[in-house]
Amino acid sequence: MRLRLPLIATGVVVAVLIAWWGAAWLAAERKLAPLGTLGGDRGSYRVTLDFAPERFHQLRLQEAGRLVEVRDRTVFMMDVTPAALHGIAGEYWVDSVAKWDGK
Amino acid sequence: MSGTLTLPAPAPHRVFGRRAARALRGAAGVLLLLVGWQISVPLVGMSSYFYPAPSDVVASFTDLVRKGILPVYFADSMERYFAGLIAGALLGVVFGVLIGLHRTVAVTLSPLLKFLFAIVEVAWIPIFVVWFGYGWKTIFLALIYVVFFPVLYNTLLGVRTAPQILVNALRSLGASRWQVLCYAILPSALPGIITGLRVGAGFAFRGLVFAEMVAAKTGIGYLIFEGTQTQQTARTIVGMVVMGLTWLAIDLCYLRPLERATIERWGLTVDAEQRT
Amino acid sequence: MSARVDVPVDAHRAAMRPLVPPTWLGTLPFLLLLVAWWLLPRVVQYPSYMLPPISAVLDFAWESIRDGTLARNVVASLARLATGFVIGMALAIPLGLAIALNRFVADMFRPVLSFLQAIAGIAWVPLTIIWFGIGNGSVIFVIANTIFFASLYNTVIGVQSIPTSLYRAVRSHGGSGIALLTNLILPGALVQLLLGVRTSMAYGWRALVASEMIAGSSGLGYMTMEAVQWQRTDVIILGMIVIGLIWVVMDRTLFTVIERRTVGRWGLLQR
Repeated sequence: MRLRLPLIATGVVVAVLIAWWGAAWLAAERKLAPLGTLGGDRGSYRVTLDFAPERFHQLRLQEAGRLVEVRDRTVFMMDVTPAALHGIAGEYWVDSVAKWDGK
Repeated sequence: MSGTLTLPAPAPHRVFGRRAARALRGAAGVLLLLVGWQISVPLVGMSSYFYPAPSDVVASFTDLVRKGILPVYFADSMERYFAGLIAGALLGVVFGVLIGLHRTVAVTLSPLLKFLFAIVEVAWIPIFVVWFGYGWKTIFLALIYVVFFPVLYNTLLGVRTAPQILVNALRSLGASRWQVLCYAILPSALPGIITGLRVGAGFAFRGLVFAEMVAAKTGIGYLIFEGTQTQQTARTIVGMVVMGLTWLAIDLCYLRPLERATIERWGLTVDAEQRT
Repeated sequence: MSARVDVPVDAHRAAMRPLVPPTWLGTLPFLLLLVAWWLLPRVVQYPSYMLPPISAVLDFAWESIRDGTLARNVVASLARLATGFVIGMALAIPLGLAIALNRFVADMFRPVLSFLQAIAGIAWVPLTIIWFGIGNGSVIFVIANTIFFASLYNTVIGVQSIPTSLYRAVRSHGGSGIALLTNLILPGALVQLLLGVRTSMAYGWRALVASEMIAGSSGLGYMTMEAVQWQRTDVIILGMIVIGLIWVVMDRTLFTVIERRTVGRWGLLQR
């Protein structure tokens, strides 16, 4: 079948996407485990990266909630829903997530 | 007279040897370029803002991947590209068939379409930005625009040059208009459609990078632009390299197989002039 | 036996003639568009910066023709196009000949060049801005880059498609080396280059407009993009129309003329 290559390429892309999302979901579960159950309301969190966040990361985090402060490699956020937090924790450049009492 | 004809068997290792020699020379060319570039950096003596070295580029690449920037930018670009390409191609085929089947419509719309296409897609970006702002909407529309016309023209050509004999044969067998379309006209037009798709895909890729430089906040085009804005020229080069490799991959994995499949299947040759 | 003809002969013949649509039909869509453009502000409410009335565009057109800015921009753009075209061709032809004639050079350069070609000219703009600044240098670089690869491809194809019988013809007349080059190989390459000029220029023209928009300080692309900042959509629309018209004019005059002369002189071109 002559259209083999395009189909294989598309298959590879789809497989990679599925694996990526799967790995992200698992990573989010792992990073959020120490926080226990989160409830439905918005909370404040400390998100620590492996490096100093660039504008790209700040924009991404802003999609999830309000950025209050950036200190070294940690970003302090408020108004984050559990779903949005799960999304952030799934990013592989996020090292850890912790509850924050809002300074 | 002996009845058998012996042909000399091709020496397999010699054929392999020639291929390998070719590949080696190609690799040598690439290596020469990289080494020459790396060596020239201390000779040129400029900061990495002006003249980054290959080592800077590699470091930047690892940095971008580690920070999760490159995968996201790449995914965004590809999303926009294929969405625009498929949408534009579908519209082009649909309209190409509709226009191709009705001579009066073709004569009426041709001058307008020709003029619209003469307004190159990059010239539409400013007005799209005014109307739709910065972001994916503008890029999507620009891509649809640039893919639409080549696909339309080549579909039109393919439909109009469908062999009348086939059409008549099918009609004489009592085929409905829809059946004539599916079994005679579309298959004959397919090589033309694929040519139009190939041209459109090329224009669209360049258009994508340009549109992202101007009207986007993510994407490979944006990366190329942002690198120089943030004194990280190595990132710009990473973007350019990714762009080059991506196009080669798209061409190799999708465009060429599609072209070969249609040409081989129907044994039709594609006139190179259709590529305009 | 006389046959009764119920239908008058002329009407019968008229019915047999195939329906050829008249060519003036082509102007209808333009007229319709103009009417719609004129009607729209009177029928729908929208902010005037979105779509300026026809009068605004015409006013700006007249103004910019009168004070020469339009002419200056057009000339600047075309001058850059020509310069980039010449530079691109000048670099591509020798390299193309070398690649077409020498297997070793071809094998070495092909992967590198294929890769570089995949990086569209416009992607070089941020780099050229750093190196040459905003202005002519960047724009001409991008155009030359685009034309270079198109011409390279055409030169190689051109040389490769010279029939061997012609080689033998030249050799049988005692020609070799330089004579071969000037009498056979160069013309062969030039033929394909001429055939490909239309496509090369299509890419080159896009490269011009695009790079002027980002890295230009004058010209049609610059004029059109600059107007976005001031939301002068009348300037933008005029820019678009002029860009379209210039391409139509170039296409009609230059390229069809070239194609016709190529056909006339060498009898090539299967259409």
